Amino acid sequence: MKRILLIGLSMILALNLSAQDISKKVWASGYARGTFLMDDFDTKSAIEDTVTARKLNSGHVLADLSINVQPNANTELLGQVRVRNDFGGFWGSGVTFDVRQLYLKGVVGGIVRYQLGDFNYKLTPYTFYNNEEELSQNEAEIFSIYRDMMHQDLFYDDNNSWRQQGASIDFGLEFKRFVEELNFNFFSSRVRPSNFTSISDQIFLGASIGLVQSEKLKLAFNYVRMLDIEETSNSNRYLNNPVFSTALEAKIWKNANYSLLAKGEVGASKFQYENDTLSPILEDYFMDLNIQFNSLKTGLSLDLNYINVGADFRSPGAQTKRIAFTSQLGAYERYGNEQALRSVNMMDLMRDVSLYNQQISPILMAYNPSYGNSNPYGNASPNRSGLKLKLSHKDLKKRWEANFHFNQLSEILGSGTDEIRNFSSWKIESKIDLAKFLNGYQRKIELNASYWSENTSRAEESGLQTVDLSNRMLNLGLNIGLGNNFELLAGLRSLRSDGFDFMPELNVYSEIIDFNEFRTELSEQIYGCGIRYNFSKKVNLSFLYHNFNWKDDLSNLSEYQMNQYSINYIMNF
Amino acid sequence: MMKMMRKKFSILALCLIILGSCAREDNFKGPALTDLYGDFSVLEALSISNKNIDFENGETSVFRARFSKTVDWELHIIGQESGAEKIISGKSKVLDSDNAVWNGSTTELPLFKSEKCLVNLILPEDSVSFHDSLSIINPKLNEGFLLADFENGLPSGWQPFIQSGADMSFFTDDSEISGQGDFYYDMGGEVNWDWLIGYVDIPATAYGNDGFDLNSNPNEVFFNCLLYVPPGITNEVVLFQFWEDDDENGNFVEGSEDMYSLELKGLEAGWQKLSIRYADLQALVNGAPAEAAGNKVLESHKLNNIRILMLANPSSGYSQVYLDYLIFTEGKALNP
Repeated sequence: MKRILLIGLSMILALNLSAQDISKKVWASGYARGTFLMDDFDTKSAIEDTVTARKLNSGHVLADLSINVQPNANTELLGQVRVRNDFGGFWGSGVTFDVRQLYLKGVVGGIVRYQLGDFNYKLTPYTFYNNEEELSQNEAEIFSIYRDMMHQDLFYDDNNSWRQQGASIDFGLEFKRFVEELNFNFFSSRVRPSNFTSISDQIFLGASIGLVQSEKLKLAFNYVRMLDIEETSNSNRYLNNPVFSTALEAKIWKNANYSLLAKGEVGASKFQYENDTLSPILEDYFMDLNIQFNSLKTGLSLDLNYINVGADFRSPGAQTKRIAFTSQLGAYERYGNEQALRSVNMMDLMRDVSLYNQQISPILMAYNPSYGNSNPYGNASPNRSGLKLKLSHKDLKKRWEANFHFNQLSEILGSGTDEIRNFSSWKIESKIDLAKFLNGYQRKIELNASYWSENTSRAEESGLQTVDLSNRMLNLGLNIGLGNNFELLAGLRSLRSDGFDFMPELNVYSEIIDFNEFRTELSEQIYGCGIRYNFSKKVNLSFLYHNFNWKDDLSNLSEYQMNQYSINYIMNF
Repeated sequence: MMKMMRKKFSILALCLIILGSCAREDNFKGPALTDLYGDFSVLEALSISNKNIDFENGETSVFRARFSKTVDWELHIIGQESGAEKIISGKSKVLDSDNAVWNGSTTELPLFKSEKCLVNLILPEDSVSFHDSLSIINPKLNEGFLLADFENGLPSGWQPFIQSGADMSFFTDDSEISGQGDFYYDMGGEVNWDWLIGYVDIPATAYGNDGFDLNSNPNEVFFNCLLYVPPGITNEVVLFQFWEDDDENGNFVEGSEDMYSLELKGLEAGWQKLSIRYADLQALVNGAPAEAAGNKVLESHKLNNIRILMLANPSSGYSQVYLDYLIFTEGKALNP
């Protein structure tokens, strides 16, 4: 099979090379990387850890080879094959070939755009949206090198779309009076295949109709639904989870100096397993109202949101998490003389692709409150209401930008008690191009820094331990251009989480069935430094070192340290 | 301009009012935290609905208690004469007929008999326990075809064979705690020249028929018995042979009719329950699975003799096993 794929691939490439000479109807593109990691693990316990391997080496070379075929002006076909060789394979025995993506897209009659096969799609943060994973924002570049590799593997993009497999159709209509445009978007994808006995085919479908009345007023109607297809298995239990929303955007005021924009989205959902007597019917609504003020002359902007997301609001497309915290770790899953199960840490989140999820989950997934407790499921986190404020300033000379976020949220309904939890958080983030402050200095000196603080609290209640969980994180990143295309990279991330909360335990219908006590005095630090050589904007080679320390004084798990040395070669073509 | 802005804000405000007026339920989500993690107190101490229970006539007893929060609890009922123990456990605020009913069954063998029992309710997490007692008028009656309980000696028609050896027992006895009732069948001895210490044949004719009147579906028939290995005995081998009269002529002919077996060795010390589905029996030759000699079909209704052989390695010395409460059940294994 591998041989057939290889021959097929070679033929296509050969075709491409000859075709490129004649026309641009067939061309190749892709991505390649080689990475080698050396881990040095140290259990910092009083008794020497004689069981865990201190050093672990791993690495791979892979190439995503895409063949684009455009048989005519209105049709395009893309097929991508991933060839991967993990270090340690012998004479090709470790080589894998995967068809990574395949799609056909085009335009019918110059009006209707369609795509069949793999496609990326998103709607709104309450209907279909791939929220960023925890601890991924404001990351120093020395850390995001690994994350970018994972995102490449997982088809995560900066646009917060989900990779799906199915079909999409988009078209628009233009009008001369009253309404400028009417845009229609439809998609459908299969989320889970049937096993023909107890599990039915599960699909996710959606539609969006966007109305552009004028530049000043836009209106959209969104509808998504996750459902099991009847009679695709012997089971007669079917998930049905529709979500709809209406979004409005109005430019209230705009002149050369200022602009004022009002946006809002309201909607509702219904979750139910039909023919399942144990299944609840969860119905609820949400609203997100937003005012944005921009001072165009000063670069200042103010963003104020009021959100209210019901406790029973269920929107799988928007609430699915990227991280599956219950997954098995790829490296050092157990450690110490007792071979205790290691919990997920920030370094794992940065580099372990096996922790990540690529499919829409019909139920609310697990999360780690130390990494963010106020919005574990993004904007669509159920049972939250309150205000979100963002104050931004962008230097008009593009020397720096800074943002200040303040969120004051609370539960709408208490969890296990009438008293509600309050979530107060703030974050300050800045990015400074120091070179621009030095007259005549041509090389890059970029500094980014952020500090995040979050507190979860609940009023004291007789007989119950008081909820008080505090998370803080500092991020620092530095890029210095050294000349001759060399760059020095350095970064620091430090997280502390202290306190107590009751963590809900959910059943298969995402209902809370129990609470577990969560106590922590967690401390995680990672710092790194390295050097990168840029062959071009698309090709680079880096040598990186990272040191990571983990400790939780209230956990039974021992403190540990991981040193990581890596060589990474990345090429986009 | 201002008029238009006011109009737009009015529309937004109206939307807010409409949405804000949407009603939601006002109960908190999930179980009450005070039930799970609040202060513990006893709201209702342990009580027993029926302290003189006739299980044989279908009576049961309900244990009741109530606490201020949900707790893990364990109810231990211990027979003072038999040493039998029934354990009912759960996690709740309330013990009642939904979760704390006793029908006379046993968790830890032997079986209960007509006796006085101690009742202990233990809440391990909160270091609290309650104590009471009750009396069993008649123990639970198990449905099935009872082959023997040895209360009146060896059933008539059983045919034991005992080798010539040292300290040979093969009799009913009550000197130790029995698996059920007072008596059990003691099979023991030392034969230093042969594996066989002795056996006992249980012919269907001992019960008045050529067969045991069992369901013809071998998946529905379970053979059950209680076995006891005295402390220190490790060399026991107990072999159960089930002889089928394939041609239904009233006789079993070894080598030409089916014989299915079950060999047990390495049993734990103390009383234990053996339950096996008739369909799971195998033909054995020298302890290894083999093809049956007859029609090769498991036919429980054609069973006409059970032979229980007591074996031990002749060089391993004395061996002993007690046998009690042999019973066929239908549809499910014995739940004593």
